[in-house]
Amino acid sequence: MRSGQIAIPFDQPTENEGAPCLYLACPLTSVDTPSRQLLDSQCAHIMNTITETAASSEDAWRVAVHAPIWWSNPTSGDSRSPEDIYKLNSQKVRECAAMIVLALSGGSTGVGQELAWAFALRLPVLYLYPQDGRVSRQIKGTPGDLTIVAFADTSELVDAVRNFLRANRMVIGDHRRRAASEALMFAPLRTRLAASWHCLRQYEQVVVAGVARIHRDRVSELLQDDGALGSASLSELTALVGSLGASFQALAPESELPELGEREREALAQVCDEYEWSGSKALHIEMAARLELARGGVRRLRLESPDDWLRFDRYRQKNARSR
Amino acid sequence: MIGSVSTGTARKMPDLADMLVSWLLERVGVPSQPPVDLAQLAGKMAVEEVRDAAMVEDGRLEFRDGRAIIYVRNDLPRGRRQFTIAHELGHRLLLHRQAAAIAYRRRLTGDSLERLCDDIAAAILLPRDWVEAEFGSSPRTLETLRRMSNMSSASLSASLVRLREVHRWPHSLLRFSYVTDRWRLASPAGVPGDMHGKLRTTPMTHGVLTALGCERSDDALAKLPLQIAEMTWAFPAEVSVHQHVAVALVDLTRPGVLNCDEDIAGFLRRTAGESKLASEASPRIQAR
Repeated sequence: MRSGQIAIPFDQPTENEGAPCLYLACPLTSVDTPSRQLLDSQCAHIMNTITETAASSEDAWRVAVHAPIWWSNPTSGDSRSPEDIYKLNSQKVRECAAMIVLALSGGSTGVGQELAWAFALRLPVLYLYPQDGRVSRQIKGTPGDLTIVAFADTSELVDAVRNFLRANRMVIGDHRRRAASEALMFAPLRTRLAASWHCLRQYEQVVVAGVARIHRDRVSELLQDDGALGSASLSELTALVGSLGASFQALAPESELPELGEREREALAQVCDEYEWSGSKALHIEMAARLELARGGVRRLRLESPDDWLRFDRYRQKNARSR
Repeated sequence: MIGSVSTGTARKMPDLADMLVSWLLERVGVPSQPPVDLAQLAGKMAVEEVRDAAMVEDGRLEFRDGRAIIYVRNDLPRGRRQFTIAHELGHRLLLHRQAAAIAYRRRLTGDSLERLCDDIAAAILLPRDWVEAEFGSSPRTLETLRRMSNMSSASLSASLVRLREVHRWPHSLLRFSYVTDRWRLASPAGVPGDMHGKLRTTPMTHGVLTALGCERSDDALAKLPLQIAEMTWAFPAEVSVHQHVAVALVDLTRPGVLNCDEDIAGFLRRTAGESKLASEASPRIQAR
């Protein structure tokens, strides 16, 4: 980072907006009381470390923490249904910018599920385990943005969290922008699928869900939230699109070679007339331009004047020579 | 505040761009007085670097490892380079979580998104208030365009498009290149929509530009012949010809009929009288 430049001031939340959130996962259901007390204390240390590290940074920023141990602990007399807990936690993971796993006794199936969600969402993950514990080889071998750290005491736990936060500040700070971009990308597809789904009668929805082999609640989840749709597997998406009778092209709207726009075509005709390009040259360069446009991305490729086309042609020729 | 930008109204895109840019500059604390410091603005918008690269496109905005980087084609002229950076900053602005919602509500397609980013680039480099105050009473000449371009670091083309927008200049700016023994149209800017891509040079255009190149080294008033849809017309223009490049500020809304039987010499003789009259009516041009 250059001197004088601050991290993501542009996307930094104002007082009324939410700070990026970290998800703090740990086993809850099958732990005994002493272990739960230990987890509670360690989670509190982690949360304090996160808050203090962010606030005391030279360029202070804000980070929030969501920890199921405080929001959906099964032993605290919580009467919510399993579906409610699934909905709460899966949605929270989608909203979060990173995950910290505190694995006592190897973790739990719930933590494993949360880890899978985090990897699917490409979140950075810090996996913490006591030095005398063991880590599953499957977890160790997971290809993702995963940092595994063993800790002997609270001070090592705090150091690991502090280092993780500092190393991932840019990614965490940029999460909101990425989420907004993904929402923009998935919103049209979700809107189309939701329109098809909601015009079905209830029994038809049952049939469609059965054909797709996707639970109706899962279909509702996918169609309610751009983030959920974005984190769905391709298998789920193709099954849903197919069972709703939508075109598979909806999944890949950019897969066909894009046509030139009207202005680009007019400028191509103009350069052909003005600079006496042959018909075959015009056809070749038109195809080259369409291929180039198909590469997509946030890029400014102007082909709206003879000069633009001449420039494009020079670049092609230079590239052909260098190949 | 951006929250007050209503997208439900029939607001034109340049207006939206001006509002977005004034909100942006105020929020990040960058002065809007040209020349706007694009490096400073990019830094404030969390763009880590503006990097020159050999590439086919003019500019590209990339996000890698959570970092935003703008790549700019390394052989762009200065004015176009500035516009390209400002255009990519437009994309960066629209990726802001509040602006993104606006972009989606407007249902921007790829093309209209690019147009909006062009409008944002123009609003960054040539702020409306500044253009209104500084050029409201300026003569509609090439010299005014050059002054605006020098003050703002924007290209002549971008300056002309902005003056069309803000001060309703009727002109277009045509740049010609002398390539293989002939003057050819290289880049038109600010051409009315129905004429876009339809302008062609003719032997008469070549003749006029060659004659002006021999006679004058300063800006000259002339009637410039151009072909539109198989018909050749003579348009009032102010022309500056150099060795291999000519620039013409042309009013395409005032076509004059050409005499079909007239040769180039006859045309030049006849239009020279009209140009002289026009020069006398515009002492500021003649004084240069």
